[in-house]
Amino acid sequence: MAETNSQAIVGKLQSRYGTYARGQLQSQRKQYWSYIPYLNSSNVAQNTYTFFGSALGDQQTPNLQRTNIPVQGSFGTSAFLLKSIQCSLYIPSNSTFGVDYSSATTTYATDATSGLWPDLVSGWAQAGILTFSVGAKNFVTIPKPFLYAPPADGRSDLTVTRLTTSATPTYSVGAPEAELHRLAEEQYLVDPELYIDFQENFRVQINYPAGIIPQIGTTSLPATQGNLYIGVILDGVEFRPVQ
Amino acid sequence: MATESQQITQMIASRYGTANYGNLQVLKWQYYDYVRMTPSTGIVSQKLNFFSIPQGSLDPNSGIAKTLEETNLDRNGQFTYDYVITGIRTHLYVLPKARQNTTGAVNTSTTLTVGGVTGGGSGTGSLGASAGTMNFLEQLSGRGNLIVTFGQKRYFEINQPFKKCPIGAGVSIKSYGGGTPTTAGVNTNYWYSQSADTRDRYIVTPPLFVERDSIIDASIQFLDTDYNSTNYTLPNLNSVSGSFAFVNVGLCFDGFAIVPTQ
Repeated sequence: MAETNSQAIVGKLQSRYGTYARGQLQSQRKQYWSYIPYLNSSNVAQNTYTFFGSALGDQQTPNLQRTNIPVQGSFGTSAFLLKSIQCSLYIPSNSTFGVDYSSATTTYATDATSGLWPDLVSGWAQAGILTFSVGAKNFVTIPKPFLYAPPADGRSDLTVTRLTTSATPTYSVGAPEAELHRLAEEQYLVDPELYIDFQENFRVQINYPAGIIPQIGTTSLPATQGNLYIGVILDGVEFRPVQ
Repeated sequence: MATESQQITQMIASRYGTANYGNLQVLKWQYYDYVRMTPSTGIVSQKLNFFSIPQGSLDPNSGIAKTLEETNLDRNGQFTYDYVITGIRTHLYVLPKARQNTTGAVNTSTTLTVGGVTGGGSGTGSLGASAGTMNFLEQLSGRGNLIVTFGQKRYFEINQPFKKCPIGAGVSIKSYGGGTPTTAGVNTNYWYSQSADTRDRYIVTPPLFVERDSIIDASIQFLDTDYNSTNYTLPNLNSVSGSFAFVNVGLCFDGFAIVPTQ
């Protein structure tokens, strides 16, 4: 379609005085992520979690730990080729991540309430539905997204040895420990890829339409020291204008 | 060759329709369907039917309306889009605590998530007991046949589908146990899960193309002579009749949906 006069004039001005070279793009691998608290301010789980709904610098997502999306629900002046989707989590606390092995009575002795074990094995990680839509059209539907689209960001291990206290210490095994799958082979690949254009609006949600999943762990850090954050990572190729 | 009425319909659709079937797009997609494994008796249904009940309709075993979490089937026994099947997964799993059986307090942490069994592994009271849910599921996973028919023709017959077509996804469990033995003794616990390794998925080669109007008849059937209520009843976890864990069975077709542009 031919350019209008105004477009041609703007184009000329931009090419001479603009801050970037219009029409010239560079591409690079890029991840966009968005983390939000699993519990709301009343410590209640939700039916719907909307990711990338607030941009970097907003009140909900004030820093890069939470998100790097430049515009709410959009890649802004960049286009994006979506190649992979990952669901992840983090706990904003500098303390024991999951199982507190030092507490024999409240944590180690029972896996009912310790750490993230019950939440991953019998809780929110075992349910939910992820949808990725552009405009009004749904392009991706993933059941149980924390299982089907795990972080898949490499192998890491936290190995613990526990000895019982007695005259002759013996190994005490069986401390419950689980985490989302991290093998790279488990990655959810969007194949064929999805291309999201400049300024195009998209929406990523995890829903629990069959009912909310309350957090189970009561001695875990998310329950006692702050929120558990769940997140969605979009991995792919960014196309942005050359400056 | 299209009939005159088809030509007229296509012309109207191309001009005024909400979808453009002349311009198609390929998307990675899963069609999935989860059904409750047993009715309130706790006896595993001899034939578990999949892709027959769409969203919003009641699962006959659970009596609960299906949501998008259970299925993305919009039409009874038919896919919404033309579909290419490249892989098959089954999923045999215990429902999360919040959706568990209230009979016998199965939905409590004590029963559902504590690995330990009071008294050293010989009693009842948890999924992990020697006669508990996990051992039952392990035995069940060695049985059954997956049978899938499109139209009048059978396309898949897979023996032991829970083993041959695992989910290939899941939580990475490093260790399982804990529990508090109230008496001296060995605390034995069991944990069952299908393979979480995506390389173990059942790959459909060559892929199978399914037209969106094809009638699907997919089921997992337990056909051996050992099928009876003794062998196929979920164990009670507490001393209350009906205190079995709710278990869902899922069937998932991986592949590509061929979607009209809008």
